[in-house]
Amino acid sequence: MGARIAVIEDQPEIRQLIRMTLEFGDFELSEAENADIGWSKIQQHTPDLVLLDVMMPGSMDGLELCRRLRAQPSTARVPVILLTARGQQRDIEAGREAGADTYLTKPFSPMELLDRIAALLGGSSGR
Amino acid sequence: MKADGPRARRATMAATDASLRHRLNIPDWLAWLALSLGLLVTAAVSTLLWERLNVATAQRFESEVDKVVAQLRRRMVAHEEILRGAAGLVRASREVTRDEWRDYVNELNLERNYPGILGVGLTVRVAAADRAAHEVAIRRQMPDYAIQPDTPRDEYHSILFLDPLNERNRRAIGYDMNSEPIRSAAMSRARDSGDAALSGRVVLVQEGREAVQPGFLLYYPVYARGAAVDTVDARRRALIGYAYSPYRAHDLFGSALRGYADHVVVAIHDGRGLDLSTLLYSNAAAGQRLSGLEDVREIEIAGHVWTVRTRAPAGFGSDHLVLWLVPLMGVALSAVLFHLLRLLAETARAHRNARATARELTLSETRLSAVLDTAADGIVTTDEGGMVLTMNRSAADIFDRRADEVIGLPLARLLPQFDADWFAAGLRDAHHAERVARHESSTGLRGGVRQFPVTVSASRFVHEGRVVHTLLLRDVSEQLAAQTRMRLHDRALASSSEAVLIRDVQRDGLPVVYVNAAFERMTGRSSQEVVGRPFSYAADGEAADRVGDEMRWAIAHAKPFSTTVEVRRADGRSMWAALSSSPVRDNDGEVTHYVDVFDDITERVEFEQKLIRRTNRLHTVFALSPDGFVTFDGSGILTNVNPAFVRMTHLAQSELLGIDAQTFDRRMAALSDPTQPWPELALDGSSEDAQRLWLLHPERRVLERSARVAPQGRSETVLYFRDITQQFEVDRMKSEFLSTAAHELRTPLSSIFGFAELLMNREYDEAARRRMHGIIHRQSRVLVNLINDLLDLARIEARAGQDFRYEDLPVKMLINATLEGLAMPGDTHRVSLDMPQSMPRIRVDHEKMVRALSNIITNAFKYSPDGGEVRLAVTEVTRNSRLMAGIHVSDEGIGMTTEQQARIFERFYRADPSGNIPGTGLGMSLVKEIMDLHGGEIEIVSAPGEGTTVTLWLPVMDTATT
Repeated sequence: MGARIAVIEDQPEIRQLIRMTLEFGDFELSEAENADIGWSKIQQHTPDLVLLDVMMPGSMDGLELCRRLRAQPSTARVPVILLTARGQQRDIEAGREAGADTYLTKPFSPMELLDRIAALLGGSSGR
Repeated sequence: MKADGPRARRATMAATDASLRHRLNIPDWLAWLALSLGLLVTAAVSTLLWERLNVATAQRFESEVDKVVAQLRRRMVAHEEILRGAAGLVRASREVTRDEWRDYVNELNLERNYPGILGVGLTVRVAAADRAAHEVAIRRQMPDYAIQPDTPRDEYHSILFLDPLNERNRRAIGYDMNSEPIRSAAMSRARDSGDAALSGRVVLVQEGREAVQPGFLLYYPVYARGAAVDTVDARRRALIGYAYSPYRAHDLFGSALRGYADHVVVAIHDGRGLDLSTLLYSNAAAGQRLSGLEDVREIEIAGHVWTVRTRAPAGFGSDHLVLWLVPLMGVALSAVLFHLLRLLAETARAHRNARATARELTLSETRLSAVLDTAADGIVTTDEGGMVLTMNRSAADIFDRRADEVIGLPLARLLPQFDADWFAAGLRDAHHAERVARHESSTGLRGGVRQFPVTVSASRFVHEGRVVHTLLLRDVSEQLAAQTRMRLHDRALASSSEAVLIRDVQRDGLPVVYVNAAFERMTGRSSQEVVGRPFSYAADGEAADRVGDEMRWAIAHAKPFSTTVEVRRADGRSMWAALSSSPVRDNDGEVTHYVDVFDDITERVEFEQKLIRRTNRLHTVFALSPDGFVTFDGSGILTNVNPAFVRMTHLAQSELLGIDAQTFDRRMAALSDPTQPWPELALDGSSEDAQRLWLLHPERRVLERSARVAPQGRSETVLYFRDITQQFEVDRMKSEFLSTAAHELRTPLSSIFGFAELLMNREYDEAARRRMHGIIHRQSRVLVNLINDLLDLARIEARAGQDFRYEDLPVKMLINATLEGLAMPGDTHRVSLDMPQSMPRIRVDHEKMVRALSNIITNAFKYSPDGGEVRLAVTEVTRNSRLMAGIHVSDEGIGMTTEQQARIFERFYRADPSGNIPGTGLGMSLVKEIMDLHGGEIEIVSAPGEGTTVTLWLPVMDTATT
């Protein structure tokens, strides 16, 4: 059984890009279009990795969701990759403080995304 | 009165002389006769006096001698009486005791009453046979008693008592005086005569070894009681002893003759003759000079002879000085008399000559004195050498010197210029009998020191051969000072920068009598033009009346007045003058002139007017300024608030005026956003840098406050409030726009970038490749649209509708075009339409209005995250008497608060600050810009959670059916 990856991203174009990037690897994707939905899905099945957009509409943004994951023992050690449109140092630091393992700035390289996922999961990139 | 002393004396002498002339008429020879007689009388008197004086001296000497001798006798008789008394005492009592004797002697008080007597003693006659018994008997009382000298004799006369019993007399007790011949002779004589007997010169047994004086003794016999003493034999038998006194000669005579022999030299010899060996006493001083007068006489005292030699000392009767004095005085008096008589004779002669004119002269002199002393000018006369002879009172006053101090001194002491040289020069021209010289500017010395200007007229005349100078002096100090003052006043007036005009108010029409240079310069009117005529300052009738009335009133009441008047200049221009006018009075207090002084204050007046205009402008600016102004006075009290400030804060002006700066600051702070720091207000100038104030009330505002302390004046502080809310928000929104724009741009870019990379790195089948290219293409278009949006807004803002292409078209066409533009493949959003049958036509720029409408519809979807119907309806309504077409777009989304609605058209403002709803924040701004440029309106009805209805109202061109 492949690694379970939760993708939480509001833009459907980006979700499609991620989906196609990961389609050749041994991954099981669980998509959510906002943080609230993503949070409830994670509660049902704890993923092996979370791919999280920062700016999303709704009551919760990506950073807040990240903090909740870290605060919850079952998800405290789950690797989190932040996707952010804001590449400034301030935003990167905000992400680290929220508990993210790494981040990617939009527009991001699909190949690099694969490398990061592989590095965090300890397996091959599946490029 | 200083000056009249000598003159008065002279007058008095003249009067005395006049009366003498009548009584004396003394010829010259009389003086000579008086002299001869005087000398003759002097000689005679001197001779007579000489003789008389010699006789008198001799007589006086004689009397001195008599005095001495008489005193000697008197004293010795007194001594005899003492012994006689003592003998009586012995005879009267059976046996005289030692105490009784002592009492008797003590009572005599010898030392005081009889100086020179050594004591009073008693001897007893002791027969040779009785001697031993006698000595034994006496020794009971006096243990050392013994009769001396201890040689056997027929009988002994031992001294039994001798008082006062001092040490000296004690030596004598027991001595037998009968054993010594001189004493014995006197004792025998006393015994035989029954009377006192004086001994010859002896040395007393009492004498010590020093200062031995000659002495003698006086004896008085004591006979037995009841015994017969009528014959010598009887007396020899009856004798039982002697009362006696021993005397030291110098002591006795010295005291006895004190006061009696002061003027003569006395020597007393014992017995007859003047042998030195018999000398008892002499009062001659060593080396004393004697005159020739001498008297020697023998005197007998108690049966014994003394020779008294009296001589007159040198200078006795020294009255001979008178002898010289008398002739000298006589000669002197004669000489004086002689000269006096001669003088009188001469004076009498002189007065005889002057008799005819004397009275007139006196009178004239008195008159002249009076005239001279009342003259205002100083009058001084000098002799030809320049020595002051007379000086009148005025001259004394001028020089501040007393006339008697100055008379006889050189005139140069008072008038340095008139020195000896000046007078000598006068003398050279002596052929002019009389000459007057005038010296306009000389210098005098007042009080001998201070210089003052004086005018001198000098004349000389010769009187009875003597040259006399008369100088007439006038002190011109005050005259010169007054002239100088006048010149200075003239100069001051002429050079004054203020105009001066003087008018004569005692003449009709108050004509001008003087104007100065400044007047001519300011008014452009010359002195000739103005002087001699009435003058009115004012240009026009009304002002002339006003100033004229003021002036007439002031003159009538003799009061000063001042006013500001517009003066017409000669060139027709007018000037403003600050005029002050004051009366001038003469010595009686009568107002004679008015002096007007004025200054050209045109510039000042103009400046004041300019200042007033400027102040008014400032007030206007203050009132109209969009920025808030608050002013505080120097003590920190709020003095002014402008309307803009009231608008900003909704603090009423009436609440603010009069409060202090701290209270003001508290009121302001109460309006502030508590989450922001509040910079405290300080009026000390430290708040000059702009400080930001975040207000929450009456609405959210950001103000910039700066304080400026007026550097001059009363240190007024002006607070300046600038509403920078918009600017601040713009800044904030711009920054937000950048991140939002970045987000908006990055989303399509991410797709393009990501799919392109996948296509490059992986092999895909044809279908997948086409799908991915489609995404890339579509996202590129989104990117382009976004960029176009931004550019459109920028352009619309910049050009303000100038490039709009207006066209008439029905609303429906606009709506269709919009909905077509929004439609996207796979888009699930639907707009439900509610269109009327009759569509109004509007005149719009098609492209811009499509943009506006699509923005509204997009927003309706965007802010309905949970879905919900979006409806579009069109109405036609008359609003504000205009027919308007309304395009209503309603959603059921999150809605907006009132505050959000108020700010919806602010650029970059986003009702969702979280940024989760994408958007540039430009959409509604763009709509507003476009609607404004079309003369349309936007109406928003919204409530949070209930959705929003936005209506675009556009003017209807006409109504047509489609």
